[in-house]
Amino acid sequence: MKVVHYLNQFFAGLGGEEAADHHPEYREGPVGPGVRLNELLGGAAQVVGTLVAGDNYFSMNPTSSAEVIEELLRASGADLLIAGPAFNAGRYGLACGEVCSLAIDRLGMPALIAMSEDNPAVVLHRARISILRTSESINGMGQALEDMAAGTSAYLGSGGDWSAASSLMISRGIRLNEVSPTRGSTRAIDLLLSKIEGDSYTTEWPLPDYDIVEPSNLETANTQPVLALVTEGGLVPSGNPVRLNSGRADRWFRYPVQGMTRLTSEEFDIIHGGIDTSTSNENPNRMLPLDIAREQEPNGRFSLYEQIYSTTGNQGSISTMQRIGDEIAAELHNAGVHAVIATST
Amino acid sequence: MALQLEYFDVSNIVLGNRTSFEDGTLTLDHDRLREHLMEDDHFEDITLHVAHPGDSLRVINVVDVVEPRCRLGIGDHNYPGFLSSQQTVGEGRTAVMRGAAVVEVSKPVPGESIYWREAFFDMTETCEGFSPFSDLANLIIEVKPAKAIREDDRPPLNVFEGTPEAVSLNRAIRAAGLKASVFMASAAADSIPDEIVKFELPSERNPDLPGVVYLYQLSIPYLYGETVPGGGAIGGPAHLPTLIHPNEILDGALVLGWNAIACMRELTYIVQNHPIISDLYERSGKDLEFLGVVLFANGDTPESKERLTGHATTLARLLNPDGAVINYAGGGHPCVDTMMVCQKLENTGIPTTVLSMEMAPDPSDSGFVHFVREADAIVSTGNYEECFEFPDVESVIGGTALLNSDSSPNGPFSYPLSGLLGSTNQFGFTNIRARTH
Repeated sequence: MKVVHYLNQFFAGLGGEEAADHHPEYREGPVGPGVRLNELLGGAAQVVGTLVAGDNYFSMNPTSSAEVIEELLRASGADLLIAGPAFNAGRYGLACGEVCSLAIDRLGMPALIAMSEDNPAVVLHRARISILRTSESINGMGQALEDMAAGTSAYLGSGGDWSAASSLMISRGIRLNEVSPTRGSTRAIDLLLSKIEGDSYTTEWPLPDYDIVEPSNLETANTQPVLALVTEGGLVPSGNPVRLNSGRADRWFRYPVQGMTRLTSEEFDIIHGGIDTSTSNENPNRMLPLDIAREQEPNGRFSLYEQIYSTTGNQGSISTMQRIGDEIAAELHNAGVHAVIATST
Repeated sequence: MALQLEYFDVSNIVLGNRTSFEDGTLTLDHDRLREHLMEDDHFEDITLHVAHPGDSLRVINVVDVVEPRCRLGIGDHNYPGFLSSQQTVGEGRTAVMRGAAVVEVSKPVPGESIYWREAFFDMTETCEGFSPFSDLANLIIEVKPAKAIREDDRPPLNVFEGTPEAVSLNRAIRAAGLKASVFMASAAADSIPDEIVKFELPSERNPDLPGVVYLYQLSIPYLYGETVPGGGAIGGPAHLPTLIHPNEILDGALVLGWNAIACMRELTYIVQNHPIISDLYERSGKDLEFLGVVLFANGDTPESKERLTGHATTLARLLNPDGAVINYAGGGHPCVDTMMVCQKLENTGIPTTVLSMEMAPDPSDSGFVHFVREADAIVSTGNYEECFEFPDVESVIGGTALLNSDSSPNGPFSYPLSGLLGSTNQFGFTNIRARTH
């Protein structure tokens, strides 16, 4: 098994920040920490070459980097790419992610990154690239190299399965299906009996930790705050020209309501796929109360923001909904909106 | 109250010109069966097909699957409320054509939500372990609805059920499947069964064994032919929780009510072979005592949820259980009720486990709209968001296009497990589970 090792300028001995723009180059055989890694692999695999690049290279050459790296990886003739250890160095971690993604996508070459769990590249790449856990700092170099060698040996010994080294790996952060030896009903009863007996038991699905969102203090707002109306109820202009999804939404939109006293069923539809929409389609104000807001506006307690915002919450993934919420909130914030009524289905 | 299921093993179904059952081969009188099923104004045409394990075949637009069964006692009714007048089932003898299934397929009609409707499975080996119906001998009833229903141009009234015409058609399609079920099993009435299993709750409780109750969260099925209303998105008052004898569930009291997402559809076949009930029966008297079943549907307001989950918990407590298994039916509202029942039981000192399918793109996003810390023993019945690679097959029954994909139904295509019928069943019928990687 031929391994190509990826290192940044620092670990390749080219220098620190002054060498961070260094263009990729390929060197025969192991370099720097690769020498020890090669020893630890003990013949199960051989580091045939080292790919070196400066940490800034990828961000400075976003378009040309892919071809250059692909060519160098191909020329190495290696079967496996090992990158790092990058510890908690963010730019180095991101570069490892770039190189490994290219290897996997363009050459079908398996790849491993070694870095610490808090490296920002972990979140970006863990779903697709196997990442081996290291310490945060270079002090853990010896252990990191030993783990990298052990992980690689387990991978090779299992015929190409990184989960054989799962104790060394960072969770990929995905839930994958497998066929269990017993069916779900049987496992549920087994689990229950363990729980009744007071034996130790493990849930197959740990409950998540969700954010606690503290409502903001409206007391501190202006005496006449600007109020915006937002909904996740799948409110769309008739015919849904924005093609908002009825479930698993990936988008949101805004719609001007200047001069509108209410939402009419001729102009708006509710396309939410998870609820009975008949009553809100008869009267879309049941989903987003523009009519009442307009009625109340002359009382002078608020002024209504002249755009309404809509997405569909049905079956939304939390990460997408967080993005949509962030985007809408940023817009409202920039527009000087003080308060929001967000209607939920 | 004892139910005796008499199993006849079927390995092959043949469409012929007379009905017989011999050496595992069930031969059906094609014309007579088709004529029998066509006695319904909802249908313009019905085509019968057979599908066997290993066929290079995909069945799409599935509505429901039923196991061929008929009651064997004199004067016994089959599927009361559907095919016959009311009679309590769950006692006496019932013939089961094990290894066979009736599959109803029909394209969605106007007025019916297609959001939930995609449902398919393959007869190839690719789906092994993921598809409960790929290794059965299947009779497929392909329905062409009457023209007036097919060409109805009114908008749907409601996302789940659709227009009254769509609801009525779907009920007729289920009835056709049930009729075929009885027709097929009647062929075995004079044969000698391959196995006989008796289902009976313990008459006296063994104090050395933990007593277990099952809290069955319903997905709006027909119970003795009548819809069990759930609150939730349908709106309106939900059915009160009720104690029910598990034998009634195994013996045809429950029939699929609405076409939910395929992977968690409350298919009649799976209910007839309810895995939690079957497993509790199998283990009863060995490492547990099976005490009974509480059916519950979800409420749609905080008040009704409180009332219904409290009532379900109280019914369970009447049985004085040492533990409870709860299934989550899927969806937003039902999740809240599942968690409330779990919490209430735990708070009264009754340990619980919850079975749940996952709709989780990543572990930080469980898909639960509500959870309680007491739910600390959850069994995963699979992540239905994960894409599955469906191979190309020679033939497709049930239509010429998928509903939510532009790919040819012949494949190959990639589709989330949500489309694969019965795959992540909420009762744990399959061996699928998801694990964090």
